[in-house]
Amino acid sequence: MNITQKINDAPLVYEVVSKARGVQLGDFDDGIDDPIDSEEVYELIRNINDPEHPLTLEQLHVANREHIYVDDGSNRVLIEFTPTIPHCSMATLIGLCIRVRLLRSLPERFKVDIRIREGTHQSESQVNKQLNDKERVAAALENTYLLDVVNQCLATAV
Amino acid sequence: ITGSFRRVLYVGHDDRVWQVSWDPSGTRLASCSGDKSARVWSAISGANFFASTAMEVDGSRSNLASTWQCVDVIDNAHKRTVRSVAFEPTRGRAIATASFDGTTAIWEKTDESADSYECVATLEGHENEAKCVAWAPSGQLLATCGRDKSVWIWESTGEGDFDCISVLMEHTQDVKMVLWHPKQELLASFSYDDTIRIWKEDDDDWVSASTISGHTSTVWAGAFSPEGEYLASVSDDRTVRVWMQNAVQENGSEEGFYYRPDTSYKCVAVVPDSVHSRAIYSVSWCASVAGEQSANTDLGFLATGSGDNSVRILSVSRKEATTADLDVALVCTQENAHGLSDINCVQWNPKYPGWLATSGDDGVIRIWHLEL
Repeated sequence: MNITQKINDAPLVYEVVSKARGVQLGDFDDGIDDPIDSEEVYELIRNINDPEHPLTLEQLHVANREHIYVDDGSNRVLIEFTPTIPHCSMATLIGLCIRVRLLRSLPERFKVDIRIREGTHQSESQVNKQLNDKERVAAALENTYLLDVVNQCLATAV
Repeated sequence: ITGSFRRVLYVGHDDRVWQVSWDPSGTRLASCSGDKSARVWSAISGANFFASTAMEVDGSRSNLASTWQCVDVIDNAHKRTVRSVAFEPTRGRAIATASFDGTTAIWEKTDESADSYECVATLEGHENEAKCVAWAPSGQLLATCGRDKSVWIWESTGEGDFDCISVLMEHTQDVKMVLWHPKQELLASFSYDDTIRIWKEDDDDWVSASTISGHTSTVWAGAFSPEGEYLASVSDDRTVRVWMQNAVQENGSEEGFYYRPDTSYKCVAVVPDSVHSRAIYSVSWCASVAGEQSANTDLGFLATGSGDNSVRILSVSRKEATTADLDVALVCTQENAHGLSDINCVQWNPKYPGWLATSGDDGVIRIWHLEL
């Protein structure tokens, strides 16, 4: 019996178009107003590992630059991610990894909404509801097993 | 009517504060937190704290020591977040706590003079996170709910302990809150399945009396009006709805059979989603505020707390003395009531009108006074 059977055992892997964020004027000067932008948020999540594969969310196009919306002035971040297949049972876990990464990295003032890209998952609304329920997220993060899995996925995102 | 908040005091926990509960005398507060503890706070000057409205106290921590103090830290019972806390409503000598560890604990004062509490009972049964605990006004019944979709009703054994008398399994998703009716033996439960259910006792058993639908996302919390004829609910859909219990019509008793209709509720007011820009987590209803002229159409004030960092006060009144329809109007707003953090709980003081306790993700409990 193969207990490690993958939900999607042959995902499409995309070439990473390296677009490392260059050094910017504000990086070393506290006097320059340096709002957080979508590029910065993308940097935080692109190297999160997929729970099933030794591949990053960027390589699988689960996370996409264009689907990150940041409004620094009103402290809002919206991330839409795209599961590799519409019945991916890992979607909630991937969303949770993104949420934890941003909880740990972004200033507390940000309200973060995480959603599945519309039309890309059959349980889209259920997953969205769960990922944006602060109580469910708080409870999940007290589950040591789940937290271990999340931390493994986040180990590559530095 | 317009209003504003005048007084801010704060006290703290090491993690987000999920809920606060006043004792029946209104001079003590219990709070619970993601730091796995519950705490009991007491106004040092007792009731005088609420009398001294002339003395303005600002929000600096240094003022705290002279007004409120932490009299007990309950940190030895729960292994996970303490999600809910409730003072026993008749004498305030006991406190119930419900935790993500699945248990509900009952704490009693060790003696009349000391303000320290010891665990006298642990109620087990929920499969996983317990999310709310509520005492019936008599203090004889307790309700709990949790992620296992169930609502449990417990009855006092008279010695601090409780026996489970009913497990209600009709919600299809986790149950966020339970709330007792102030006058009738009715229980309301609020759920992630977007509905509210009303439960009543029927022949020694508890049964579903009504299902209230209308919210389009998780219903986080509710509050009965002081006389219990209305129920306000708040939701992830960012609306506040007010429901009224329909008059019970008992038909056919002359024919020799007895028909008992379900308790039904209809929506009599919707406060649109423009009031809050994110999920509303808490609502509290007070009868009236000191100094205000009360008319027979006046139904008091709602306070709401939201993920948009604001606390809002809404006045509630009947459109006419004879109709059920309500006017719900925004009276005042406190933006960033807990800095840039979500507001998890708002609770009006049961004895001192216009005094409101709030708690937030910043780990802080604040006490406000509404000035009209």
